[in-house]
Formats: sequence, structure tokens, C-alpha cells
Amino acid sequence: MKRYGWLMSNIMNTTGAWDYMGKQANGAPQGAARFNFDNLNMDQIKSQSSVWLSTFTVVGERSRGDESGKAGGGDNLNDGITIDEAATGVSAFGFANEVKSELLQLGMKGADWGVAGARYVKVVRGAGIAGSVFGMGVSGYHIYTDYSQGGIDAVNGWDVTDFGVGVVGLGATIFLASNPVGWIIGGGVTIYFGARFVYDISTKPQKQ
Amino acid sequence: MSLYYKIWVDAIVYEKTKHGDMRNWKPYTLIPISVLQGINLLTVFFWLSTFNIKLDIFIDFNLFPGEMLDGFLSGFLTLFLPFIVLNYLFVFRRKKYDDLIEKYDYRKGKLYLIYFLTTILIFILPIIIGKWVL
Repeated sequence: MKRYGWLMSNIMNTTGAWDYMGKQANGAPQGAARFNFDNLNMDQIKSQSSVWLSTFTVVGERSRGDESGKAGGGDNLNDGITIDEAATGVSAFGFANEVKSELLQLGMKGADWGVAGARYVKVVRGAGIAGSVFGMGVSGYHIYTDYSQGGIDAVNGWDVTDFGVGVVGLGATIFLASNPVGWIIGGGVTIYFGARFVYDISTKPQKQ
Repeated sequence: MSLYYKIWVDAIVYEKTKHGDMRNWKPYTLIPISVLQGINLLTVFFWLSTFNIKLDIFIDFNLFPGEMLDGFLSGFLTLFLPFIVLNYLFVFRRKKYDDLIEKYDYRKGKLYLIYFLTTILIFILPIIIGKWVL
């Protein structure tokens, strides 16, 4: 008995992609094959050192010395292999190669998503803190001037609301921005102050 | 001054720990803390105003359409910019933060959070109570 795994392993290793393990390892689902990615950049497959493929059922073994349907004799690959065995081996290789390509693409897609996601977080975070500082600066100024001129009744409720929204945005930027809740709050605060700014410009009389 | 530096160390290490991958911890500590210090200053003037000591601290502008941009410019120059400059001189200049991190303990962001909440509540709670509760 000889495994086709060595062939697949040798060819796959030319890409630095994996080390094929033909036999079922401990803990693997029935009929599954395990692929280790020792030579692969871990960032590309999102920190997974191995992947279980439940649909991979071809181990790729051939028997030698079977007298029926021989294509030839001897120990080399061209001898002692039936057409079916050769087809199985080629199919196994083709399937494995396809799986490898899919995994590599998945890994690369994941890496791209990670970079894009990190950029998105940066943008939202920056926008969140800019919106918060803007809103708190405006509302702080208005609250103080209104209060010093007319007491607590002169303080506009909108300014207090703006200040509160700015505080939430600042708090989310500092303490939550690494998770989606922080992103949503940071983005929401920026949109809120953007809308307030447009409303302010469009409703207040133009200065001479 | 010790408390000031302790808050800074807590904020810097917290930011580096939590968002270190973004590599922009300096503006993300300098800006929020300067904003909070601006609110501290605003709170002081607010309470002075309550006792009829009214100081015209803001530089008024009338440059842009609407009121928000002028208000922001005034608030930014009066409340935030002075603290950004002072904090830069006291903490960031010549990488003083490295010495501070060695000297003071990191409190896992708790001191930073307490400072944030205290600053906000001392300013906004009296206004909410005075305007809507009493």
C-alpha cells in the first residue's frame, strides 16, 4: 500500500501551502482529512493553524500487486495502477488542489477584510471623536453663555442634548470603539452633529 | 500634579492596550483628556457664575453662517486648545510619558473611567436638575 499523499504533499509544498496528512487524525470527523498550514502565513488564514474538511473523503491510496486490470508492472507510478485507481488519484489531487485554492482564497479574502475592517474602524473612530469634540465645544459654549446671561431657564434644551450626545460619542470612542457597538455610536454621533450643523446653517439667517 | 500624571498613565496604557493596533494612541489620549479638562474649566466658571462671578471667558466669533461653527471655534480656542498645548508640554514633549509609565502604576483604565464620569456628571447633573427637576 502506498499513499498518493506523498505526491500531493510534494506538489503542494512547492507553493509553501500545506503538509497533507492522509490518514484520519484523532478527533477528526469520519471521512475528514486534515490540512496543516505550517508553511503558510497565518495572517492569511485568520490565525487558524488547521482546517477540518468534512467533505474531503478521498484518501488516495493505491494497491500494488493487484493482477486484475493492471496498466503495467513494476513499482513506479506508471506501472501497477489500474485506470480506476489512476483516475481516483488524479481526482484526489484535483479535488485537493481545488480545496487548497479555495482555502488560500478564503484566507486572502479574510486578510483583505481584516485590513478594510481595520481602516473602517479607524475612520469611524476618528469621525466619532471629531463629531464629539465639535458637539461638546458648541454646546459647552452655548450652555455657559446662556446660563451666565439668563440663568438656568435660559439654557437651551437642545444644547444640553447636544452635550449629552457628545459625551456618549466621546465615551464610546474611548471605551467601546473596538467593537461594533462603539462603531455604531461613533458613526451615529457624527451623523447627528452633521444633521444638526446642516439644520443650523439652513435655518439661521445669513450673516452680512 | 500626581493625580494628573496618574490619570495620564492610566489613559496612555489603556489606549495602547486596547487600541494599540491602530498606532495612533497619542491623539486618542491627548484630545479626549484635553476635552475633559476643558469641561473641568467650564464647570469652574459655571459654578462661579452661579455665585454671580460672571467672567466672559469666551472669545466670540461671527464669521460663519449659522451659529455652530462660530460656537465651536470659540469653544475650541477657549476650552480645548490651551489644554492640548499644556498637555503636550507636560506629557508628550521629549517623550516624558515613558518616564511617567515607569513611575506610576497602570490601573486598567479604571482611574481614566472614573475621571471621565466624574467630569461629565459634575458638569451636567446640576444643569439637568436645575432645569428639569427643580
